[in-house]
Formats: sequence, C-alpha cells, structure tokens
Amino acid sequence: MKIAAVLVASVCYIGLAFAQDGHPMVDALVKHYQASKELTLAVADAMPAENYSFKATDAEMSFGEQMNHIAGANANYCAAGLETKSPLGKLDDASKAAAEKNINAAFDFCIDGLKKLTDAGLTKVTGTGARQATVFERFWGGFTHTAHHRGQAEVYLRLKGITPPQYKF
Amino acid sequence: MRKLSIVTALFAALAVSAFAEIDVKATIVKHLKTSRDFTLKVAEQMPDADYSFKLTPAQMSFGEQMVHLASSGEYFLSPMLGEKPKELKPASMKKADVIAFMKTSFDATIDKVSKLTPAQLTKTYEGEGGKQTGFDLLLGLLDHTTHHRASAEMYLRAKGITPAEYQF
Repeated sequence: MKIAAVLVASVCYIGLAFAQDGHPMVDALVKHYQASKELTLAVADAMPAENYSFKATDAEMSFGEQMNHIAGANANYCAAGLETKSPLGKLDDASKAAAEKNINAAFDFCIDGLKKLTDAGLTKVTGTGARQATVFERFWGGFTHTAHHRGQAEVYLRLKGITPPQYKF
Repeated sequence: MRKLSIVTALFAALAVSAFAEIDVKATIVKHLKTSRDFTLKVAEQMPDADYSFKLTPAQMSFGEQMVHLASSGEYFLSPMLGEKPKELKPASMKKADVIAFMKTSFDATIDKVSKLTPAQLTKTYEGEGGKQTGFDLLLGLLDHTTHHRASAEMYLRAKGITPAEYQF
C-alpha cells in the first residue's frame, strides 16, 4: 500500500511537473518572444533609415517591407491564437520609424496576450479544416515566420557591410 | 476509499502528462518533419557547383550552412540525452554528400525527439545558453534551423533561384 502510494506520488510528480510550476510552456513562449522582439528590433535598428528601401534582388521585399511583414504577420498569428483581431492595420509606411513602431506594437500584443494564457489554453484547437491548429502552433508559427524573415533581413545588413546583431533565442 | 482516491489521483496525473506529452512532443515532431522537408528542398535547389558560394566573405558557404543546421540536432539534444555531442561531418562538401548527411542527421534527430519522455522535456539543463528546459531546447533547435535556412535562401536568390515556398 505504501509502495503504491509512493509510486502514485512519483507518477504524479513527473506527470504534473509542467502543471505544478505555474505555466512553464506559456512562460517559455513569453521568454522567447521577448528575446525575438529584442533581436528583431536590434536588426531593424542596425539598418540606416536611408537603406530601408534596399532589397537584395528585385523580386524581394525591401528591408522596410520585411520589417513590416514580420510585424503584421506576427500580430495575425497571435490574433488567431487569441481568437481576436490584430491591432495593426494595413502597413503602408515602410520607413524605419514606422517599422520599428509596428514591430514594438506587434510583439507587445503577442506577449501581453501570451501572459493571459494558461498551459492548458495552449493546447486548444482553433480554426477549421486544413487551417486547424493549436494555440501553441499559432504562436510558434508566428515566431518561426519572424525568424524566417529576420534571417533574410540580416543578409541585407551583410550586403550593406553591416555585421548583424548577435543571434539570441 | 483511500485506494479509490489514489486511483483517481493516478488517472488525473496520467491525463495531464498524456495531454502535455501528446501536444508538445507530437506537435514538435510534426514541425521538425516539415522543417526537414523544406530544408531539403532548399538544399536541392542550389546547384552542386554553387555549394561553395557565399554572399559575403564573413559568412558560411551554402554547403556549410546546410551542414551546420543539420548537425546542430546533436548539440540541442545532447543535454536531454546526457550525452556529449558528436562532431558529425558529411563525406565531402559536394551536394550529394551534404544532402545524404542532412537526411541522416534530420532523421536521427526526429527519431531521438520522438523517444523523449515528459520528464526529459520538463527538466532544466545547464548549458552554454544558460538554463534551458527540454522544451526550450527543442524550440531552439527549430529556430536555429529557420535562422540558417533563411540565410541560405538569400544565397539562392543571389543565384537567380526563387526559393521553395515557405512551409511550417
């Protein structure tokens, strides 16, 4: 009986390790979203304002458009996870000042929204059909999309002779 | 009565652990597979002759970017597995050898991740990047691949090749 109780206790401990310590998955996402915000703003800041219209090849977005695309898409992914609307409108102004403002607004929207979630809430499935995804995937999708475009934007910096800021996660 | 409450507690614990495990690990494995397929498409798009191409002198060559991202699974998983990361290398830096190496490395990574226990995911590990849980390390692995693949896609564009459509 005692052994059984100990066994149950250890299973509970392992099983509840995530649940016992608040919301570690939410906390992890908040931490990484904050690092992503800092790195994205550092990349945005490293490019001089006059080079915001620079693009590496004709088919690509300009540096400023990449920054706005990161902001707009991130807010959309997070809005889908939070089942609400993105606070960002159409992002036509691709100047450095506007893009940095948009990045700040998008990341703050995501981080504030994340902080209100629970780990159980992250497992909720939203959307229908092929667009179905868990709330976790909405946020992680936005995160990965940022890394994809920021990774390209860092090469724009290199092409302008600027060493990109140190990678952080 | 006591037995019943223990049994209830056991079921509750199993439900939570299954929930967390299925959702986190299965989701990460799914995205690791998409990441593998997308990265292999990018690797296939660059001609063999341009595997040594780099956009600026300070960067890695295209082939080096591919080897770097494919071999990084070892580093991200080693704390969880309690192993020292092995220094893995392709037979050569030729396209065929690099792609073969990537396939082997990605599949080994996916296999190892799919065998992780909930305890390995939740535990905190001390490493070069400070304190990180297994969950952090897995997200870091995905992010690191995305970061280097994005650079490599810029190399494709510089060679007049439109990169494969983004997948997540």
